[in-house]
Amino acid sequence: MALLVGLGLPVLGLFGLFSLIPYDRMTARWPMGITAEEVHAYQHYFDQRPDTMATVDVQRFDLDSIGACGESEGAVTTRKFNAKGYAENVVVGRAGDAFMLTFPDGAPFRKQHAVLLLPASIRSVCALYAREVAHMYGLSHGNAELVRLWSCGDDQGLFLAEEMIDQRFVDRVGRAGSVLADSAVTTDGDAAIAEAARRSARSLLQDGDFSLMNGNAAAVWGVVGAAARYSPADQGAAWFDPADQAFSPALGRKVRETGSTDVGARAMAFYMATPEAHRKMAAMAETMRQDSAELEQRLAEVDALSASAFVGDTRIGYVRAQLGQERKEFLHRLFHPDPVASFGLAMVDTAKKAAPVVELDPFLRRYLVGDTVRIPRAKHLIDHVITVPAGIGVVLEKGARLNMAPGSALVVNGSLHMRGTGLNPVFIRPTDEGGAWAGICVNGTGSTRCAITGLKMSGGSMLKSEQGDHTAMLSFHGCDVSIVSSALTGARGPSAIAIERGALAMRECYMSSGTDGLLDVTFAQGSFIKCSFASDGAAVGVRAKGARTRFDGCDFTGFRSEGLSLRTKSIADLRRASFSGNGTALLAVDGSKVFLDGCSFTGNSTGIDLRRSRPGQPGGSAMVYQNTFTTNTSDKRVDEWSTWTEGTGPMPDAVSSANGMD
Amino acid sequence: MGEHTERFMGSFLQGWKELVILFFLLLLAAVVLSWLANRRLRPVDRGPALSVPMFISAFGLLMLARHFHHDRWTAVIIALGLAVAGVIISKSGTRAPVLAMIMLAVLLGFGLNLSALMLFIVAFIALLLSRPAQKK
Repeated sequence: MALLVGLGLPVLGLFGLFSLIPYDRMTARWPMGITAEEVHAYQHYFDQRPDTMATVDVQRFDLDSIGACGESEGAVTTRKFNAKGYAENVVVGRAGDAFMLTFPDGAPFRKQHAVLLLPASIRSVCALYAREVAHMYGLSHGNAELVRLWSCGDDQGLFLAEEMIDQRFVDRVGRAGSVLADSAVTTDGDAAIAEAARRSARSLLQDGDFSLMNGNAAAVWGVVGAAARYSPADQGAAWFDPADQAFSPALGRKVRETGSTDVGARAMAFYMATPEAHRKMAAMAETMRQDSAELEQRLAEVDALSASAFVGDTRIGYVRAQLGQERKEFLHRLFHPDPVASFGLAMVDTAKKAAPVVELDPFLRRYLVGDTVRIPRAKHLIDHVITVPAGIGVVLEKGARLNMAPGSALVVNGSLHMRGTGLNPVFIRPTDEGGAWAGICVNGTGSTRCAITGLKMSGGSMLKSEQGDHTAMLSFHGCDVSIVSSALTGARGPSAIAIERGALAMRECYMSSGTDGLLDVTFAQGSFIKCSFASDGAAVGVRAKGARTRFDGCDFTGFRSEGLSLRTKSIADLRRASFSGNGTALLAVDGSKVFLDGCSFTGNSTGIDLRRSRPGQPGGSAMVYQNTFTTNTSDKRVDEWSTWTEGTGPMPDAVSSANGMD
Repeated sequence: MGEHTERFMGSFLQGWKELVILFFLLLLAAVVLSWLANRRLRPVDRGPALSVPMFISAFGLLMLARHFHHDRWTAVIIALGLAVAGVIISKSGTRAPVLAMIMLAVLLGFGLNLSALMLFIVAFIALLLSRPAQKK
């Protein structure tokens, strides 16, 4: 009797408790360390209040087998995948309860190339919140959604489908040439970009150069990561953007490349632990607090969309209350992040390394006037590498002649001006026709001005440097350059002129006779008016990589490889350009676009070649208006991944300006 | 000390503050339930206010359950084995509420605090309303 009463009274109490107390109180934090999971279990059995079940409308993923239904753990198999409007064979990997789906290159699933399916619980809603906040504050992120997975006809339950971050994701959302550093190392990515990524990571990790991390995106990641209890190793990826030489974080799980060193992830994990990042996260959290009303509304919408997925045999009111509690706690963590607890604290030597005191070269000291080295009209012999310290500009006056000994160079860490005229040009020539000198190299800060007129230059090659190689006899990094009425010939390195980051404007210039190329434009803008590019031995005229260029009235003549080569999502706008006697007059690959108006193609092996360079990359595209093709072996070659659009009449301004060319 | 042993001991000592609280909670429950079991008995029939072997066994089990709480099946087997042990102890004639204490310890060890509270209430009411056992 005592036992019956002892059992009966508490059971009645439990029915009363769980059927009467409001759900928002039931889902709130309980005293005495009672966990939400335990309360949920009691609610399931003792909550007897009447309730309306919601209609369950959850995205369904179907995995069917090819042959016997193989479900062995760890095995990677090809299976049939079906979702609304999509049916393909996909590669399925297993890790515990999780499924990893990799979609074919040519048939991504809603633009996604790889998706991880994890068993979902009510806490999975935090992943959806995190992405909603990331989206609101402009942080790149992989998608996430709740799905019901069916495997070989069996309901596997509710899963969280998270898009994985890999190079193809970066190709889609990043700027031209952006790479996940490890994939660039391990695949056939650009070795120069991978090297630049490693260099930037070294500067960030060793010298604490925080300008090499996209601070705003990292702050958003940090606040969201702290709220969702993510770690950079788990839900963080950072790709390298060669245009600004910095890492950009993204929210999502990263596909791990075996045997690779992920410098982006290392840089991100380090940055997240620095006081600089914590300060920015605090500022970002303050901004989010000011936007709290909108954030609450957006997350409530996420709850409204997700609630029915979690219902199962639980009451909808209870699910809503649980989601409400999760939302409340997520927002609290979002508005009051604790970065030290979340990401640790790195000891960073914030005192910048003092620049070594460089004694000014005697050659420079002779011509130093204030903060400018003015090299006057005269013959000057340069027989070694002369480095001009930062803060000092260089001016070559009209009639100045630099005779460059083999291996010599002039490295300028500031502005460079050459003031030649038609009658009194600036000459830069080799002392020995048999030995190449290195180069005139300018390291800028992004908008460092360089103005060159009346230059006649020949015989240089390239300069290797720890800060990044200069791959031309006249080379600029991060500069705003204009070159007018100049002639550059006989380069003995990879190219005659190279610009990496920044802008280059050339007018009425003549370039010819190199060993490889004449002009490299890498992640920069270029404008060329009435310039002539003549091969005379050079294989390629102009190489553009991740560049936006415009050519007006330019000639490309006699290149055995390509007259104009566009790679890595470059865009070129050509008006009244002339291509004659080239192997391929114009090549556009890997997402590059070209707009042609009034151009002529004469006597080339191939006029325009549009293709992709490797699987996974997009092809090229061309929009052509009133061009003439005569006596070419083949006017155009367009592969299945490329597009060719032919317009009538002159090219409307709206076409090129829509692509940022005007 | 081997790496495995160190890890094993570390898992026991992790969260030692919580363990101290659980120790005193279990002690309180044991004292209350023992008092309930001994009440209405003549002084000569009463057992000790706290059965030390029972309490030590229960607390040891709690620590084991805390260690195995990711592996429910292992813990269930342990709990069942010790419950049987508790029954045997009770057969030996002690009046201490061995079975209830063992189950309480297992639930606390698993972190099922609400269930432990309910069990305590059930045991409390049952012992409160039960007639004193006849001396054999």
